[in-house]
Amino acid sequence: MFKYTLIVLSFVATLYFAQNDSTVIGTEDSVTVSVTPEIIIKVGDKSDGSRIHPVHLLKLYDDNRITIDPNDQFIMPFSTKQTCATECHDYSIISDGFHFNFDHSDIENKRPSEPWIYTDPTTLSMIPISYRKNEGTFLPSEIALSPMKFLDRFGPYYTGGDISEMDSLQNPRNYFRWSVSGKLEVNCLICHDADLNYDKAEYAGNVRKQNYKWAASGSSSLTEFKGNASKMPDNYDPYNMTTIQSIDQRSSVPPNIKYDKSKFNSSNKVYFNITKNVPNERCYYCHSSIVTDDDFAEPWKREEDVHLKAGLNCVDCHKNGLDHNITRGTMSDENGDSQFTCEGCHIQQFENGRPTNGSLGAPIPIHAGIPPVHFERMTCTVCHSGNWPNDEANFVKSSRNHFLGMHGTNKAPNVFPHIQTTILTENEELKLEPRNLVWPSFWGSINNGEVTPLSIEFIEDTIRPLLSLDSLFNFGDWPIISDSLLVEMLDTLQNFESVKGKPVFVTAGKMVHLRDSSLLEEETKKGNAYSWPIAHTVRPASQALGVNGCEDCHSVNSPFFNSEIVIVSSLESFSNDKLAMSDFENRSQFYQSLFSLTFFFRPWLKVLIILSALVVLLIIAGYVFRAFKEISVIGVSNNTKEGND
Amino acid sequence: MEKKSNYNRRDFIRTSAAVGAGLMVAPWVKTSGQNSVSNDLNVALLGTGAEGQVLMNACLKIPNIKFKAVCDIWEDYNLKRAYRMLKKYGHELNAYVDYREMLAKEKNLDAILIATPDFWHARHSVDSMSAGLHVYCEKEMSNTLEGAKQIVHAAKRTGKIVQIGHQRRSNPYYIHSYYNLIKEAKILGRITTINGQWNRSVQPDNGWPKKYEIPVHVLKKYGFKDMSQFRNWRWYRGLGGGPIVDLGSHQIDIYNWFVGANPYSVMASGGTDYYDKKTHEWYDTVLATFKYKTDEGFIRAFYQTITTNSNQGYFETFMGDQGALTISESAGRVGVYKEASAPIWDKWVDKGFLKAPEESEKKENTAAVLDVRETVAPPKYTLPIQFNDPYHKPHLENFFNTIRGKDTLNCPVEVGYETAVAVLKVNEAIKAKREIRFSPNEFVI
Repeated sequence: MFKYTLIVLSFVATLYFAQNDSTVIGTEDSVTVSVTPEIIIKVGDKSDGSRIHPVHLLKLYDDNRITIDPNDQFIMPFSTKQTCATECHDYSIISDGFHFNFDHSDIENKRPSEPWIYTDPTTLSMIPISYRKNEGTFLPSEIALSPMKFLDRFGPYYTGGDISEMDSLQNPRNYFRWSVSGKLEVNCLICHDADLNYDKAEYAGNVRKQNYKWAASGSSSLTEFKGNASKMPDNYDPYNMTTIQSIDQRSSVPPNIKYDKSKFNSSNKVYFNITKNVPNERCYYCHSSIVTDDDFAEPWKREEDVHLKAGLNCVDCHKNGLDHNITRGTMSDENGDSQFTCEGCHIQQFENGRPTNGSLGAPIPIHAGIPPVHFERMTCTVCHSGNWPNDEANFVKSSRNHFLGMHGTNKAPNVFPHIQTTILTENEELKLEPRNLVWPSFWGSINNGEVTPLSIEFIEDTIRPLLSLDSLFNFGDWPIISDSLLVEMLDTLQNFESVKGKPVFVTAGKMVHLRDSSLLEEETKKGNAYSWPIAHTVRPASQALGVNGCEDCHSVNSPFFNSEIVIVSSLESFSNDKLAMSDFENRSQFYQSLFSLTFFFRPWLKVLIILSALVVLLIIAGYVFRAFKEISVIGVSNNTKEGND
Repeated sequence: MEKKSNYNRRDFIRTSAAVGAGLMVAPWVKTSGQNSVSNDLNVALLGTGAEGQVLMNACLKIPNIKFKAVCDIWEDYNLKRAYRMLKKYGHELNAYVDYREMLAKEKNLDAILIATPDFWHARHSVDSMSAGLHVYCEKEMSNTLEGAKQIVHAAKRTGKIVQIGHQRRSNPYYIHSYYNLIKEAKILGRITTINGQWNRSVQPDNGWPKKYEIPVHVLKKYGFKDMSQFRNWRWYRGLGGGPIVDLGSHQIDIYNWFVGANPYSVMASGGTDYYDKKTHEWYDTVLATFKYKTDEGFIRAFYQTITTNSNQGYFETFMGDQGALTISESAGRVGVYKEASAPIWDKWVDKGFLKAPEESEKKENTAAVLDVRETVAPPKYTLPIQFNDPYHKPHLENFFNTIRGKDTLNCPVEVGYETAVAVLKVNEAIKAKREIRFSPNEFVI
């Protein structure tokens, strides 16, 4: 019914906007009429129903839409925007998809997701940032992180488009650098190039070197690419060797792409091994995570997600249409399509006698003996996903924040940022769910009660030399400073013009500032631990929480409620602070302990009931026996009497 | 690093060490620094190719410079690129293909930056001065002495300010080295020898996007045979002067400056040994030796520019009987080395003229002492200067501030002319295959 209502509403809305598709801009003297362009459906954007996949034999175009000829002296990288989108696919629709629309202000994000964590131990900074306005994260603009600087730091896991293509977002200071690097277009190949030689790590490395224009094509098997645009001068022009005469080209190689001529046919077309069934490996490049427990260094000991072992691919659940709005993994009906939730496959439902759920041949769970309250207050993932709760939370490393899969990545288990897992947390629907968690740590100022982080430029240029912690590595224990040093720092910072308001240091969920040369701590929401739900790796019933019985969670010292969560803090006086898992679950640790005790007596209760039943039976049996005895005595007495008679 | 508005160093001693480097920028660098409307200068850029964009980039970091016009004959590529960039930075300007049209229409210009091919410099400079503009002209001020003379004469006639683009003359490293180390401290002792080079890797000729070719009739109108010659004019006789003029000019200018004299003679060897002679009319390899006659005696100065190997890049080394100074626009190559017999340099370190060698470097060197077959590298003193601006920025600032009456030119047209005389003579010496002596009158107009 809901679906039909939507269709009707859409129709009405279409009629309304069809009457208003002309907009007049300007004054009477200067009138510009903007007419909504006719929507042209391109050949690759609408299926004819065939399930076959078309062969992609294409000409390559550079970003000026000039055909690539591998025999030219000066060869440019092919542009995905021009090559894929000019004739066959609508770039504007695709680039509006979930992987590319980071900065779109109309995105309504219904649940927290993994942030990009700006981490710098030399400035004690661990700042969760997100373009998606997740509560508890900071917008890059709040710390004055320009798109170019964002890409410098996180670009290896950025799929292109959006912030790297929108002039309006770019810091004027970086215009020259953008003219050298080019734009980082949506990289279609990173997901859809099925060629095993497509090199994701090469793409990441190229982004890190600001080879934006070359990044997608330079990692394709069609090309061989060398170069580092970040080392090129501001006036760099690939056609003009004069622009690089001052650089040492042995160490600063100008961007240089060559095409494999054998892959071009006589019409200058190349075959792209494009697939719409994106292999899991492609997803893993950006979406890997690894818990740094004892088996961290032993990949063969790690369990694989049960869905993948059952033969599914990531894209079987995380689907999308042309709009590339990927279905995110949810417990509930986030995208208005319940088919892609846990229940969509695992719970059987019917509408008018026809099955609506139960897709993909998924097993239907029995959950025998589990009281219904568990399903009301917990998500499926509590028992089936994440790390099995331990006495202390583990660290977890993720692709985007620990640069997994890149060349030269630090493989130590305790590389910064320190992300903790698995934290069972009460979510917005008051259900428990497993989450990862990070403790923000940053320098800021307070004005009218509002805490604002300082700009990254100020932190890097001023706070870093003041702290003098440069010799620290990016792994190990999170650096800690003494309270007295913090006093000195805050005292010094209040003399800088960039610090608008009273300087504060936010750590461990608190903001610390000076009052009469002493440190004063206050609660602040900006410092609260930021957490986001996790769903993988999914464990089957045989490995789910509860497989050993209720005591998996309901025992007196069960990590489910009692696991210790270390508060990662840079301040000496907070460094030993800990919280219990129950604090995040919004449950009383004392009550849960008491409740757990009942599970200790429950077996005794059964014995007591059996014994009581036996006693009752014995009593009854005694009375029955006595009754029989009485009856038999009466009978004997009557017989004797008759004999005497 | 931001300067503090009110900060007591005693409160936090560690800060000084960290901040120090940033505050030690040479006091001789003069910046405009004023932010009033009266300081605004309206500027045109003539020639928006590689060098023009370098100047443009540097100017964008200088307050109160307003670009009002850009001009280039390559309308669809260089001109468009420069115009768009300046628009992004908020400049309200017009774009021209013909410089005469620009000079005729733009009536509010104060100055012009000329970054066109060498053979156009004289005409562009003279016409600009005639139109009432101060001129910043890229080196070489002309590919001929005749052209260079025309610029000097026009400057004298019009009274306009002309700065020649030998930007090292405004570079803090060079200024510090000349005034403090060589002149005041005389740290090198008597300079006896100079060695310098600019070595480049093999490079293909410049190309162009076929889509943006300039029509042949337009190219011919401006003195180019075809697109290839337009893009590679530096290699052609009559248009440029080859690598010795493009690159050597900067460094030979420094020889003259630091020595305090014009050369006495030059001998040189060179040729087009690697590239196609048809398209590389000027020499791809040049080795030249200048002789300078000073009050202290002769100084011999070697200079080479090669285009087939980039070993050691570019630098100049001044060697005296008490020390050696290696200097370059690139900070990484700057170093000062003491001769073992020279008096200790501690007082120059204390005075802030030099930074003492790093301790780690000293330790590394001690190990090598044990091996008598190897000459131990002397400890490297460095300059207490941090300079992170574009190389051309101080020189442009010096030009603009001179226009404002707040400074004097670091490379006026007469100095540029002297350097042109010295440099252009190298090509002559190669052809003559003998030592050529300069007449002192050659440097004077």
